[in-house]
Amino acid sequence: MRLFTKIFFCSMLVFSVAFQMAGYLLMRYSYENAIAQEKKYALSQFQYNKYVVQSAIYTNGQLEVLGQQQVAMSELGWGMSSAAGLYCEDGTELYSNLTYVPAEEFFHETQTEAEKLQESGENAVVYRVLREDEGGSILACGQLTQNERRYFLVIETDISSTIDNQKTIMEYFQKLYLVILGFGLILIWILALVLTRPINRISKMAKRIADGNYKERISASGRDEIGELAQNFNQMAQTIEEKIEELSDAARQREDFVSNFAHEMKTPLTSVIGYADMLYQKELPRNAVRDAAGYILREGMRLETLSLKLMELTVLNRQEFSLECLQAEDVFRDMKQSVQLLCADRGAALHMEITPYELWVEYDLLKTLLLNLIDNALKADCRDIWITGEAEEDGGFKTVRAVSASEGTEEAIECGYRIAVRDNGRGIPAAEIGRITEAFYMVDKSRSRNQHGAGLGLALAERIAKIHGSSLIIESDGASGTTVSFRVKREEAAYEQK
Amino acid sequence: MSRNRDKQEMNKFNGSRRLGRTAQILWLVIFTGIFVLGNVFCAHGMFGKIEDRLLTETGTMHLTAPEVFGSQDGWNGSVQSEDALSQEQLADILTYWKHGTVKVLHEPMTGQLSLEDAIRVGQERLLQYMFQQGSLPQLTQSLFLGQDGQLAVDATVAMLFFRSEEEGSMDAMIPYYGCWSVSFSNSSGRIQLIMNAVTGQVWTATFTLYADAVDELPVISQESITAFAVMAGIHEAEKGNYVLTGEDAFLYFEGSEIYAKGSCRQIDYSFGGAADYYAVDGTAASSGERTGMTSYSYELCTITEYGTTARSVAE
Repeated sequence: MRLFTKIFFCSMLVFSVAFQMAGYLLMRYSYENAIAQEKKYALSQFQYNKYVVQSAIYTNGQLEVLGQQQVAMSELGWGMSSAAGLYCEDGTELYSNLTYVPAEEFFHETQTEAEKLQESGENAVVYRVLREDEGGSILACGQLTQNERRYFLVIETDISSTIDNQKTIMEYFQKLYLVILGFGLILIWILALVLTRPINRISKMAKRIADGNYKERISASGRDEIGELAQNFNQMAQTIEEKIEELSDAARQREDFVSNFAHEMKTPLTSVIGYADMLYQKELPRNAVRDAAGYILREGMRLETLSLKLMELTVLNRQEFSLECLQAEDVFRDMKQSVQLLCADRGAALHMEITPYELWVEYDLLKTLLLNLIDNALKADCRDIWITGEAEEDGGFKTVRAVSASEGTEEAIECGYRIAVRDNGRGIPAAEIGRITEAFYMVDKSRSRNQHGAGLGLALAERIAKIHGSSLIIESDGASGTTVSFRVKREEAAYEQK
Repeated sequence: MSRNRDKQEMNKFNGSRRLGRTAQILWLVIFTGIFVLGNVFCAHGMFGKIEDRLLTETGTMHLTAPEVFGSQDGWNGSVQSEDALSQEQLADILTYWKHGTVKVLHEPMTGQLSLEDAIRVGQERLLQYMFQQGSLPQLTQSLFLGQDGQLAVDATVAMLFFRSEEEGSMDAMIPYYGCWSVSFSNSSGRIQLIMNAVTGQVWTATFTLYADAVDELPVISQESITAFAVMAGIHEAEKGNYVLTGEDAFLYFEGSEIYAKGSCRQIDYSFGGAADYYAVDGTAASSGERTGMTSYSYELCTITEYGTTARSVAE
């Protein structure tokens, strides 16, 4: 059963039953109250007529004995305020203009009640509510004693108008019930529609999202539960969209990785196979053999480098590293000794400006990172390489404008010890900066391959920076050099992270 | 292939869902109708049961006297001892009578006159004070007095009541606040007395003559209003100051909150037709074709507001 049906059905049920119950209780109360009022009125009429009868008997003497019934009775009838009957103790009628003839048991009952109340001095009036086809009446009978004789006085009050009124009220109520229920059902229908419409909207939207339209959003309005649901749904859709994008990116990267890897493998292997085939098929002179062997060796070395770097990348992705506290100047002094000769071979001058500081780093990884950055700088045909290490302002965090290599957007980064490698080589075009840290991505593929590059250096460097809680920031105008920097966290922060 | 099959299945599913929804709405409408009609019949049935119960009810009601409230010490009087009421008490009762708007009939309380006493005392005082000492107009005397000097009446009705602020209220009260209404009537007219339920002091006397025999309204004489004041229990009524203002006469007493008032009215029913005349207590006075009637009334009045002395007495 749909929610709309449930809401409509339940509301109709509750509304209908509540309205009918309230009406019934009200009418019941009204009827009981009306009959109670009629009984009270009958009692007051009885009291009134009792005085009339008593006065008549007192002034005329014993009615039945004096033989003045007719005179006395006409006087009685004249003075009575309602239909009444006067009976002797034995039930003989003295006067009556009642519609009903009271049964003898009515007098017995009255007598019994009167005897019960004799001691308390109260007078009992026995009443009966009588129903007719067209109405009803109340018959009230009481005993009165006058001139040492006992009589039964019966009065009759008409309650037809009260019964008619109640029936009219009942009929009116039923009409009212049907009319109000009719309007109520329309209102409930509208209410159910209003209540279920946002849910239907959410449902339709969920279906669209399920169909792949991840950009769909619900226009959330209102602060009720449905508004909250819509907001949460939007949030969920946003998260799903982001996750889907992440997964798509990851899948694309994986595909790129595989195709790049296959390509990078295929290029040297083609050379190796070609030269090996040539050596196998033909009798070549010594020089040609040597050249072919040289090709095979270089491509083999390239493959070895490729496999080593891939292994490193895989290891970096899987292994957990522990950082240790080292003095910045010690780290960079060791590094300078390792790379200075390499730079000199390639005709580049190495400049190093290091501010003393305590760093929380993994020494070997940091060294690998810097070597990759320096190698890239050398491949860019630079004449000078500047390695700088400086502590940024103490305490807290600050937001700096930066272009992140991984995100390519502005982001908030943490202050700490900033290490930068700057060169005055060819630089990187701004459009390429966003993808430069992807594995196998090369700005100039042919030149890179000539220099035995595999496009994995910066991917490794980015991964290492991440292990240190940072990210590479690559700045270049595409013409006059590149600056690659990253921040190593301050000692306490790093310690906390550890 | 499989996508097409999926689509076909989805269409089938949507179709059956639409069909299901239509059936659901149809069922809903049918059920709602049945439920509403059932509700109506159910309510009718329940109402019928209530009606059956209420319209076949039998039981017992009690004619009771109101409960006595407050101290009775200050109200020690009897039929013969009307002098026992002080001026203050008298004023208090009179203001109480005027305050209540609804008459509640009840059985006599302890200390109050019985019906027989009320009729007897009323008759005696009427004859003694108003007819013998009061110099009532000759016509009145001739209409209500018989050859034997007794009242010539066809019907006498007496009833005991107290005045209440609410309909059907049986508030606790002290017996002195109750009053007997005694009316004597014959074919020519009607005399109504309002008497204190304990002492029998007559504080209102109304003479109504049905016939159009009075051409000019009689003047309320000093003798008649003085006789009424004596009947009402005012000491030294003879010393009162008689003031006649148009159709009304007053008898003031120096230093007293009580005064007597007499007034005479002629009511003209010249529009003709049948008219029913009802007395103050609600009893039908007469019916038939009449064109007018004359009414004299004497009443004891007070200038005291209700509650001032009543509270002190109750406390």
